[in-house]
Order: sequence, then structure tokens, then C-alpha cells
Amino acid sequence: MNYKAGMHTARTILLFFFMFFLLFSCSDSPPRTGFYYWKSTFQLTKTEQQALDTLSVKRLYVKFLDVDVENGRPVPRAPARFPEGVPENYDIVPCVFITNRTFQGKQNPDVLAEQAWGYLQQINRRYGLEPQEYQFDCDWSPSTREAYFAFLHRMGRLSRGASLSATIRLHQYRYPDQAGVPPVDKGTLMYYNMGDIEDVEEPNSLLNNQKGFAYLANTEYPLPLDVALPIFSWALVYRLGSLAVIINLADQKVLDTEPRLEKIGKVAYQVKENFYFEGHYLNEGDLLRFEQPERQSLEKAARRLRKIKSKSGYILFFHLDEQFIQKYPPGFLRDLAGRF
Amino acid sequence: MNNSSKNTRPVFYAILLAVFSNLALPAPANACGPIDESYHYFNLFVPEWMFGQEYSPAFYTSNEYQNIWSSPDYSDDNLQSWLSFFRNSVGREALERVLTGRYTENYGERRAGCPGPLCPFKGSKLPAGQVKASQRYLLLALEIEKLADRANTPWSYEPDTLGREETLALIGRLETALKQEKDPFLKERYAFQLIKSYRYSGQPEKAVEAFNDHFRGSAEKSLIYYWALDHLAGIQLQLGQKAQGFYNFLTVFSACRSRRYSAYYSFNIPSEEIWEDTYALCGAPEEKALMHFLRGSKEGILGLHDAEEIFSLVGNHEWLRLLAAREVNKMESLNLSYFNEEPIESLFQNLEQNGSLLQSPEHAEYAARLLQFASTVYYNYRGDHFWAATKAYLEFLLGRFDAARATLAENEGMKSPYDKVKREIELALFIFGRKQFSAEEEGFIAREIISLFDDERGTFYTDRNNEEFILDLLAYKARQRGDVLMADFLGRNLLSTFKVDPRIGRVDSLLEFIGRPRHTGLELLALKHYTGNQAPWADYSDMPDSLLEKMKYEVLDIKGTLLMRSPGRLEEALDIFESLPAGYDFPLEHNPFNMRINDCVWDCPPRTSASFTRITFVRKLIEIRDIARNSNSAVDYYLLGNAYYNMSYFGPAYYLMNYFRSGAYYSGYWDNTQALEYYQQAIRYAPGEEEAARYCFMAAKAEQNLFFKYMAENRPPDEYWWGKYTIDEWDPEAYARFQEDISRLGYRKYFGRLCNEYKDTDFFQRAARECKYLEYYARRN
Repeated sequence: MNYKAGMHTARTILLFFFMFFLLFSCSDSPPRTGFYYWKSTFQLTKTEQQALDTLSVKRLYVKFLDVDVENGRPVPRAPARFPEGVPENYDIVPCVFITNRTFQGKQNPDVLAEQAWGYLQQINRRYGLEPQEYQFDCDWSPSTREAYFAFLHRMGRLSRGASLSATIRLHQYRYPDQAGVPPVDKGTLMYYNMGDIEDVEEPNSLLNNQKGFAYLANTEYPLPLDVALPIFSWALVYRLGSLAVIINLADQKVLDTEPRLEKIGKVAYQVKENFYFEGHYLNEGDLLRFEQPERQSLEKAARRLRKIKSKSGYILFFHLDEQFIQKYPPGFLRDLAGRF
Repeated sequence: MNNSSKNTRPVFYAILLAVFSNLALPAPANACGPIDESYHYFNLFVPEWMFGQEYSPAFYTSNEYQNIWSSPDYSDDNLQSWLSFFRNSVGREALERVLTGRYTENYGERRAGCPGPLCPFKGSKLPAGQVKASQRYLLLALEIEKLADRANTPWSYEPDTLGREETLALIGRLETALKQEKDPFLKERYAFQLIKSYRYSGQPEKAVEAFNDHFRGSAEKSLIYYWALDHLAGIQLQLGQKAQGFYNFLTVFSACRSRRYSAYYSFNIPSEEIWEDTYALCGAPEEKALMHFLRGSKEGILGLHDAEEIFSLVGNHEWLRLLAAREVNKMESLNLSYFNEEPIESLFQNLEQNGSLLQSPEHAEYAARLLQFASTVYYNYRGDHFWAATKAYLEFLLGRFDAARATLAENEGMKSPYDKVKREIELALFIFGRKQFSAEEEGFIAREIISLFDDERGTFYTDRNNEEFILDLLAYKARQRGDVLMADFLGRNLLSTFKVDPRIGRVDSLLEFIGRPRHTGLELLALKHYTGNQAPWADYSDMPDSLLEKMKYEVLDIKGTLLMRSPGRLEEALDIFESLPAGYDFPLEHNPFNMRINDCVWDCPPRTSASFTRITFVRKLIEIRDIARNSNSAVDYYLLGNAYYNMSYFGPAYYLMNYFRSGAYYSGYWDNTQALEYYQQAIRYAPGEEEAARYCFMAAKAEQNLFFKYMAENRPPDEYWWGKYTIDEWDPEAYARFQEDISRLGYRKYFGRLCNEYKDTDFFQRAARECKYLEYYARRN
């Protein structure tokens, strides 16, 4: 074997080992990926199902109910329905979104926990579910912290055997001493909705790494954390200077090609005359801003979020919807998850 | 995920009351405050003044959807229809209960001594056959209600509805009953129930078929026809026949007021195509105009474009005026709203900076477009004063005061109800235009306010807030002039609120104001407003002296109460109390000299009978004070300590020093410094250990209350109270934290002395048994 041939063989062997390593590492420990399912009626489309299969998703965070206040009392809203039943091949994590104002009244958090727990169990019984985890989503504030945490504490007692998780906003991650750390087994850091959605001047309220990174100064959090990234987009409509409508919209081209909109910035538009758009009646003078997480921004975010030492290993995408999935193909999402 | 709503003010004080007002036993909270502040906006353009209630779903409101929805839906129309059928010979109330679903299984038996749906017919002289047939229908209709997909409690996931087989059996009975029924009145209702049942049981095609069989082509369109059409419209939307469905909702809105709310909220066209298709179904211009009216009056939509379309289709129609009023109300709501604050200052700032009362260029631009349109209609319909009022009001909002004055001058003879709007605007313009007013002008303003707002008592508690707007303007002007007192009188700082936490300086200013030799009409009105005096304005303005004297007594009473806080000024307080009419004195429910181990504020059983009135009690207090001072008598210092403790927020005789006791925060006299000083003197001169232990324990209670005072005054702005300092199963550490905090800040000195110096006394043993705070402290120290 001459030197050249030897080198070639060695390179081939090295390449083989490298490929084998890659293959092995990919097939043996794929990134643990989950999705939020935030619609009230659970029905997977073919595209959504394919995305889940391709990404080997085993866990879905499904919103089971919202809790809000009506006439001064907390009530469940938008309960989940499964007209085609619950798919068996996924771990379903029931999620409960609770408005902050629910805890601003003088609600007894123990009673509310028992009500919510009872409601969740009714859904579980109806569909034969035995969840191993429950997640609670509330943007608590200093004035509601103790009530919310008391609620979670009580929920922890009620849900013996299952673990509890809670969503963590960026400011809550950045300032755990001031914001408090919820009494749950783990958290999900929501790396989105970081700007002021009400502000017509805000460049991108959905994903803005410049703002987001400022909250990631600390790399540890007292709870193990999953990380949630956004894969949705929307058009925000401002009327008489205030946010009036949120339109779920996957593609900015729809705005670019609409003759009754005048493009006044890279992502900004003005309504020239009254017309219907995506189910909403827009008014002359309305301002629209399209917001989406750019792929580069998501990649950059993933690289930065990787530095968080408290990661528990799951990357979650918000949220599973055909129109958004098509924009972010599984290859990209797999790659993104692989960066963690 | 969702964004959270904004924070409201913290309620830290609530726990301080709930937990600490009693040392061991919680007391019921007093939920009433002096003012219930809720969301308002100034609303000079009152829709109820100008239009009937029948179009109320389209009125502009800041209320949430469910509050509108809960409004009565003209159910009386159906009741009237039934009463006609029964020739008014059945019990109206009982029938209404059955028809509105407020009937319950046992209601009749328990309350009226008759079985359920038979109640309406008890004692009627209707033919037995009609009664029986009606009862059969009503019972079946009640059963069908179960088909509606409604959960029985808010926290029930599964709807309270029937299973599939039961549903089909019920529908089968309904079909049979419909076939058998001969009476057209009942037959039509059975048909309606059948459509409803098919819909609720997921059989939309059969529902449409039933409508076609029983209602399509009806020459006479009854109430029930439209109710059935309302269901049909919903079914058509469900089946994808959108345009037809929306058109039918349009018809229901137009022709059937008892389904107007349902039709209004169902008319949500989502696309241009469906709009055009629905539009094409409309024959008369009025139908098309109604489409514009419904769309233009939807929440959040700017209605100007649709108003223009209505105008071009049907001219100056009532819907056009409703829509225009709605847009004006919207401008008011967005620009003249307030929540727990007065916006008048920002209005004036806007006026100075932007030349208009409106907050933003977007609002000003839209208001200008509205004005342009209103002016067009105004010049085309000079006889309709609605447009004169609208034009003038928009000019006013836009800061074009001269134009507004000119518009109003052109319409001197405005008729009711627009004359009220006109005078409101004129008054506002008058106030805006002056820095100060002569006595005559103030008299005019007062008379105009009383007359304009039709409030002969001039107390200004209405839900319209127009009076408050005018008064706020006046208050702003007074503040600009440096007249703080008048600014307060005219603003929202009422005497009832002042009494919660009164100050002696303001009391003296009030007395000086009341005592002035002459008052302008506005001063009298402002004073009346401030004091909440309920006397008729005519009596007040004609003969102010006797009423002013009454006000003086009320303020003197406050002064006397305030003076009682200083033991050295008790004589002055007594002089005042003795100078007041007899009605100001009152018997005491408790003997303030008694002590309790555990605090009790409400419903406390008297330990010894008290025969004091306020005056005799103050005399006794002076007497004991002097004895204590002169003889260093421990027991008298102790009694004084008890009195000052019990008259504070924490004691059952709080009403001697407080006019109001909040159930949510510390209020009024809640400083136990004076009580503690007296207890300290009592300990100093105590004749024995048992007595000293007792005095020391009371000193510890006062000291603990001072800790609460410190915490309340120094708490972080957003600190939350929930569970703080309570022993609780979900946060047992909180109580320990409280004990640490109070010791660390130096407010546990007297518990320390009790444990160190008086542990062997009988009193200590008793107190430790009864007082959990002491027991906890003693166990750990």
C-alpha cells in the first residue's frame, strides 16, 4: 500500500467512523422534541401528523382549558374536545392557561385548584387518559404570585404521582428572586412574546433576540427547564393607535399582494379602504404589522438558549398548526432541536 | 400563549385586617367602602335619551359581551302571546316562570301548593281541553330544554344533556304530539320545538325540512315564525349556506325584537364574497342599509364608511343616527374615560398642545372625518336636531369651540331630547372659556346644572356622569385659581371619604368656609355635593342658613372626634360634643375600659354592662386621666390604655374614633402608640406581678398592632398578602416568617418581658392558653 493509497484508506475509515458516529448519534439520541397544541378541538391533519412522525415527537402539550374570571368568579373556558379520540402514541400533557386576573380577585387558590383538578379529571375520564405531567400557564405578577403559587402547591398535592410544570416568562427567568419560583417539578421557558404587543412602534413583539438575550444573562434557574420556541406568525392590526385585531397569518406574501394594503415598511402596511381580510373587517387607516420568527433568529436563539445550564432536555415548539408547520419543515425543526 | 391582563392595585391590607384585627378569632370583614369606583366614561351623548331600547344591542358600551347578553331579550312578547291564547285568564307570574325556564320541579308544590306547570292554570276558567293540551306542550318543551348543550355547573366538563337514545325517543314523542295537535297556536310551537330539537341533536337537514314543512310560505309571520327562522339561519350557517343564513338573521333582526340580540350577535360576515352574496339577496334599499348598520355597529369596527352607505341608500334613517351616535360615544369613551382618576387635566393639556380634546392624532383625524360626514347630513336635514347636536359636539371635541358655538346658535330652538345635549355643550364651552366666574355667573352655572341634569336634589349620583364632567371642569378651574377647597368640593373628594381619615387642618378650613357670611350659588351647590346633603335644592338655595348649620354640626362632630386622639385635648372635644344637638350623642355598646385577651371587633358580647353615652364616657375619660396623672395609679393608666386600644381600629369601640372601618385595609385611627404609652405607665406602677403581667400582655398587643402599622406603611408597592402570617396547610412557614419579622424589627419586646419576668403568673398561663401568638412565642423562646 503506497502512502497515497494508505491515506485514502485512512480517510475512508475515518469518514466511515465519522458517518457511523453521526448515524449512531442521530438514531440513538434524537433531540427530544414536543409540540404545543393550542386549539380547542384536537384533530391532527395529515401534514401535522407527518411532522410529528418525522420529528419522532412523543409528547404533546395540549391545552385542556383556560381559566378566567366571569362575574367575579373563576370559570373554565374553551375546554378541549377530541372528536376523533386521543391518539394513543403520544404522551399527552394537559395544559391549563389561567389569566392573571383570576388571581387578582380574592379567589381562594385551594378551592380553585380543586375545581381545576376536578375538571381535568373529568376530561381524563372522558377520554381514558392518565397523564404523567400537567402544565400550568399563568403570567403571574407580584400581586398574584402568592395566590398562584398556593394554587400550584395545592395542585401538587392533588396530582400525586404526576409531575407538575409551569411556564416561565423571560422576566421571571431573569429575576427569580423578585418574581419567585413556582412550586413545581420543572418549568418551560417561553422564549417568545417578548415585546410590547400593544405598541404600534414595536419592531417585533414575537421574537426579538436583542430583547430576549438581555433576559438570558443568568444561565441557571432553580428549576429544570424545557425551552419553548415560537413557530407561528401573525399580523397585528392597530386601529386608532391601539391593538384591535390579531390575525393568525402564515405568509407575508398575502399582505404584499393585497391591493387594498399599502406597504409602508418592511413588515408594516396601511389599509387604504375598508375590506375583509382573513375573516376580519379592516378599516381605512388601520396599521398592520406582520410578525414572524425568522429562521436565522430561531437558530440564533437556539444557540444562545443552549447555554442555559438548567435545561431538562426538551425543546417544545409553539404551536402545532399545519399552516405554520409548512413554513418550518421538519428538517429545519429537527436541526433547530439538535442545536440544544 | 396568552398575554396576561394588567395588574390591579395590591390588596395587602386585607390580610392585615383579616388576620390581625383579632389575635385568635377571625372576625367578619366589613365589605362596604365609602365609594365603589368602577369604569366610567363621560357620556354627554346619551343614547338612551335619543333612542328607544329596542336597538340597545347596537348601542355603544364598554361592558363586556356577557353583560350585554344577560339583558332581557323581550321575553315578554312571548308571554303576551301566551296570555292572549289563554284570554288573560291564567296566572301571569307562574306562566312567566314556566316560559323563561325559571320553573323547577318542586317549585309549585312548595310555593303555591300546586303541581308544576299546572300552576298557571290554577283557578282559570279555560276549557279543560285547552288546559290539558297546553300543559302537555309546556311539559314537553321543558324536557326539550335538556337537549341544549349546557353544562349544569361552570366546572362540569360533560354537558347536562340527554343520551342519543333518549334524545331520539324524545323527538319521536314530539313528532307524535305535533301530528296529534289540532290547535294552530300549539301546533306552531310544536313545530318550532321540532326544529330546535333536530338542530340540537345534530340533524340539521331534518331541521331545514321541518322549517319548510311548517313555516315556509306562511302568509302571516308570527313571533314563532321568526324564532324558527332564527334557528334556521343558524343551521344554514352550519350547513355552509352562509349568505342565506346571514340574510335570515337580518330578517329576524328587522322584524322580531325578541330575537334581536341573537340575530345581532350572529350577524358576523367574514368575507367580501359572503357580504356580496348576502347583499344580492336584499331587495329593498332598507335591507341593504340594515346590513351596513349591523356591520358598522360591531364591536371595534369604525362605522363611518357604513354610515355613509346607509345615507346613500336610505337617507337620514334612524339606523344612521344610531350609528353616528355610536361613533360619537366611542370617541367619548376612548377620550373621556377614566378609571380611578380624573382625566380633565389631560383634556386641557391636549387642548393646549394639539388644539383638541382628543388624545391622539388618530382620534382627531377620525373625529374630523366624522364631523365632515355629520356636517353633510346636517346641511341636508336642517330640521333634524340630532345632526346639529352631533356636529356641535364633534366640533367641541375637536377644540373648534367657535364653530360649536355657531352651530348651537344656528339651532336656538332645539327640541327635546337634543336641547339637553345642546345645553350640556354650551355649559362646557362657557366653563372652558373663562378663568373665573362672577357671583352671578356661578349662580347661573349652579341653576343650569340642577336644571339640566334634572336632579332636584343636586347630589350628582347618576350613571351618566355628565354632571361629574361639568363639575370636574369647574374643579379644574378652581385648582388653577389656587382655590383648593372649591376644587375638592367640586371634584370627587367627598366628605364621606374624608371622614375615613380626617385631618384637623381641613376640618378647620371647612368650618371657616361654612361660616362665611355669603355664598354664591355654585359654592352652595359644591358644598352640598361635597357633604352629600340630600335636602331638595330649592330649600337649600332659598334658605341656606339652617342647612349650613347642619353641615357645621357634622364637621364639628368630626373635629371633636379628632381631638379625642390627644388625651390633652379631651376637654375641647367634650365642649364640642356638648355644644351639638342631642342627636349627636349616642349610647355606647361596649365598655371601652374592658380588656380581652383575643380581640373582638364585631358582635362582641359585653363583659360588663356599659351605661355610657359618648359625652359621659369622655367625661369619665378625663376624670381617669387626671387621677392617673395625679396619683400614678397603675390601674387607671391601664384603663386609659384599654380605652385608647378599644377605640382604635382594633377594638370593639372603634366607632368612637372612626366613622368607617374598612374590611380591606387599615383605616382611620389605627395607631396604638397612645395605648402603649398608657400600658407602659401601668407596668411601671403595677402593685404586683399578676397585674404587671396583665398590663404587659396588653402592651404586647398594642406593640404588635404598631408592627402592622409599620408593615403597612413600609410594604413594597406590590406586596401580596395572601396567606402571609397565617398558619396554613399550604404554607406553614409563612407564620414562622412573620414571627421572625416582628422580632427582628423590635416589636416583640413585651412578649419577651412576659416570658422572662412573668412566666410564673396565673395570668401568663391563661394568656398562653388563649392567645396563639403568645403560645407560639413562648414555645420557641
